[in-house]
Amino acid sequence: MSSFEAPSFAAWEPTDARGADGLGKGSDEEEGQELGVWRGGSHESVPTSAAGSSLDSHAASSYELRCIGGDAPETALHQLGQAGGSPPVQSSLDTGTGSDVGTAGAEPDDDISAVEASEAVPASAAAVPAPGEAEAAFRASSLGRAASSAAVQVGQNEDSLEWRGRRKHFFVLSNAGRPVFTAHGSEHALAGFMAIIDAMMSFVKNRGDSLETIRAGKHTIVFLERGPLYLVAVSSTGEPEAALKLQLDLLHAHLLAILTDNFDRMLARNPRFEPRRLLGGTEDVLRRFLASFDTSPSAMLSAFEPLRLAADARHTVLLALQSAVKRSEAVYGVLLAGERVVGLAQPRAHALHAADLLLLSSFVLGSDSFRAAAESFSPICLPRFNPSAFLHAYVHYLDPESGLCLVLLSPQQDAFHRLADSAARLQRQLAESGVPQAISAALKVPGRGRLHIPSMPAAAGGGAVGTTALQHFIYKAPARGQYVMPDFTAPLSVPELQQEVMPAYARVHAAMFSEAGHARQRVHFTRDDSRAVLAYIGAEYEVYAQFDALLDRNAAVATCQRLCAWIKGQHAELFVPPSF
Amino acid sequence: MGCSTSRAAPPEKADLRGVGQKEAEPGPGAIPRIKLVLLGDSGVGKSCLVLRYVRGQFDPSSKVTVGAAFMSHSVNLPDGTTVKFEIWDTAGQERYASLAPLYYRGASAAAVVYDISSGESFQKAKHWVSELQKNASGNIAIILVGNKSDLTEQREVTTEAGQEYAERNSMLFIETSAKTAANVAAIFDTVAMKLAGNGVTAVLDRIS
Amino acid sequence: MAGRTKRTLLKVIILGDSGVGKTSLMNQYVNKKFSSQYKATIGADFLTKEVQVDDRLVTMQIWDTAGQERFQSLGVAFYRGADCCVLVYDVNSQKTFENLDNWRDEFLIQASPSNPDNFPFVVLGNKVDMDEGRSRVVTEKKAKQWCTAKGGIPYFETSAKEDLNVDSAFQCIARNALKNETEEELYMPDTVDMNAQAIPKRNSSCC
Repeated sequence: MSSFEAPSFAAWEPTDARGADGLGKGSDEEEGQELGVWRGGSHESVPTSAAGSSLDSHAASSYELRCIGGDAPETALHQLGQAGGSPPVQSSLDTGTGSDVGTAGAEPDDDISAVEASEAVPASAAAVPAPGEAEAAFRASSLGRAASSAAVQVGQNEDSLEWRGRRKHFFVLSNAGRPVFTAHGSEHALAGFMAIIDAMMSFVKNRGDSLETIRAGKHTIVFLERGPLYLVAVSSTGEPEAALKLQLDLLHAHLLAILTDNFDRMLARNPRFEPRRLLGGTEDVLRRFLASFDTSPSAMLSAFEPLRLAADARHTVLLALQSAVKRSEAVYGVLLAGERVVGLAQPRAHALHAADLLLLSSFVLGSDSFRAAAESFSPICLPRFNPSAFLHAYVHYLDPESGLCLVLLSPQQDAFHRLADSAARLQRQLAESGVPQAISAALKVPGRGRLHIPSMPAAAGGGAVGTTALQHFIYKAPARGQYVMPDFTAPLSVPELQQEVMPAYARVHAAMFSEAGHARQRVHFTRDDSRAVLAYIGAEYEVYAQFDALLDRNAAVATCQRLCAWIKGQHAELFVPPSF
Repeated sequence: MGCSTSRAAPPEKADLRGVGQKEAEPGPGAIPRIKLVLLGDSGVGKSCLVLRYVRGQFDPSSKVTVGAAFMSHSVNLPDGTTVKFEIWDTAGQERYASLAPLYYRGASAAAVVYDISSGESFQKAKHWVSELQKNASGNIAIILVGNKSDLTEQREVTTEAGQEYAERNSMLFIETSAKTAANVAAIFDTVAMKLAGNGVTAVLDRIS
Repeated sequence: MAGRTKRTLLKVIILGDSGVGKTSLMNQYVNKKFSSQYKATIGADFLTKEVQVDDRLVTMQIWDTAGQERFQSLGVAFYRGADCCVLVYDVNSQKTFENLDNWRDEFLIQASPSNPDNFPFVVLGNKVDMDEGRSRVVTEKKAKQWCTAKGGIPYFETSAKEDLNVDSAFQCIARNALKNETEEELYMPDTVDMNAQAIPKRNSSCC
């Protein structure tokens, strides 16, 4: 369907409705101030100036809307120039062949108000431009405006600078427009906003297309559809689309981890189902998970971070885990120290997927009740392992202070006492070998279980602040699905600078890899006023490093090579060896 | 995905009795073991009651229980005997409702908890009671617990309503406050005495 | 957590011909404001309002259509999962009354509720204030007959302009939508059966 006319109602709908349509009369400015008609999120009152106040629409210089056509590889891009609060004077529609938003290709210089005027003309009597195109352009621009306004709009009860000032927002809603989750604020206060998102996504979807991204000023809005759920990320961190999309995908996977895909099926069967009820009590887990993207590259790299530990202590841990898993007929055994992995026991045939491990550690560490209780037993779904079923997790903090936590996963729902017995035995074995002390000690030395740039040799890029240009790095061993990085040290000692680190890596990562995960190049170097970032792919590693902004490419590459050579010599204590 | 799945119909036999923990007669000298499960709506204070009882702590900001928490605690009863409680504190959330039989099957006692300041939680408690009556073992001892008795101002469920419902269903009844510790130990004492076959009234007299 | 009541979200959609005053009714209800200027809408307008129904605090998410063919742009998403459907006509226009049948049918087809016979509708005859009732063409009796014939749909005569009956109509809408709550099925996910389970294929399907 390439036209926006929807004939089924026209048969009996009074045609004078068209005449009463006020759209053609209003100038675009009025339209914009009313937030077009995509108004929402209002509680009690919707000031008509809502748009202006909520999105600083005047500051946003352009909107860019990208949809992926069902059978069109091209993207439809609509840019709406807008400056100083005046009506947009120029808009261009870069049409993708076969894409419905602008099927026939509108004039590149369509004046938006002209487009709207023509839009009000009944289709049969339409002059130039053809109504389909004009309406497409109009809708694209409205959509862009609505989305960008809506995206940074505050539910009126949440009307706080704090909400608006968040660098990132995540929303989940059902395709019936029911709120499921919001990273900030309350789902109910955002009910109107969620409905707008639903309308926008459904609107585009009904044209055989799918809404992917909207860029509005410094905000990037990414949309993802998963079964009966819509997921939306709004970011002003400068992270690339690909990174946000991956994060949305993981957010959905986390919902599955809590509920299995039975949730999707249930919602598809009964769209009136109130999906939030099933999530009860896990909102904080999800929020912490989303916040972890700011400080951890685990999601981006699809790898886990091991705790740095003496090789013999690690060996004891692995043996004990293996034996505990075997005795209790568990599938997996994981020993965590906070968000880092001390050891992992897994059957060779069912290696634990990095995404599943990430969700498992998020679920366990994010739920405070596990820390409070002596022993817990909880269902959890590992979506890569099996999205439809629960495994049963035995969770026991061996040492709440260091965050040392044992997780044993069994397919059997009555396995608790078997798991508990094995866990008790494991705890004895570790204690006899002094492992908990070794771990506590590892967490107390500089680096706190991570590498520490000031303590690293100068040849590897280490040294105190001022003596080395190396500020931070990530070294990934792809064959092991693990990465290591140093803790933050000067000059990255303040949170404002630290929060720039992961987005910067995400940008070079997106530049290096295609969406399918294939490396497009082996070396990528960028430099701006604040930093130089290098991504480098070697035979056995990937390394991402951040340097002083003055460092040039050759020096950065040379440092990285020396760094990697040094790390190679440290493998035994940095990485968890493959399972026996 | 190649994983096969099976419906987790609460299996007739599945419960959380441990290896070698068949509820057989304890040998001479062995400490009697009582498996007690706490059921009730989310937020009524089940975990707070357990933490108060086992550790003597009260954390008003205590967190939503995920899955179920297990604690064991040995106590000397007012009559001098020692018993070991194995307590399953289950999550009140709806998503785990289908797993509840796993915990109450094979339990010798159940504490069904509501919040005296929430009529809705009392309704939920009644649901749990009828589920236990339908599916749990016939000789399970049930105690109805009205928690948050310190919230006198916000009370929505009268003591009489709780008492009356408990009597009608042959259950023990008690009002508690995890916050002030009032009657918390009495939940467990009462249950233990009832299971020990003592007259319930006598127990209540002794502990009050 | 005293007085803890679960908040519920009610999705309410308003249908009816163009110009019958749907948007005005919604604005009157939510904002206590009335703008006689007709506002066109592309697809839909959304407003939310918290209401107390007995002891429950619910959030109404009200979906207002443009009343013209354009809102078809939302397709089934508009109707999906609605808890209540409000049908509005203008008592001064026979055509808008006759079209109620079409709107109701359209809703039942598109939303395909699980219990079409008991699905809560509410009918509002709007603009009773116009010309002090002199231009009225649809009698209350006729409207009520229609409502009875459709299984006893509650009927209200309203004026968005005069704020007549608007609150009580919406209160009824919320109440009926709540009444229609279906007994939720028990959430019962599966458990991995390792015996029946072959080695999971490590396919690269995205999670």
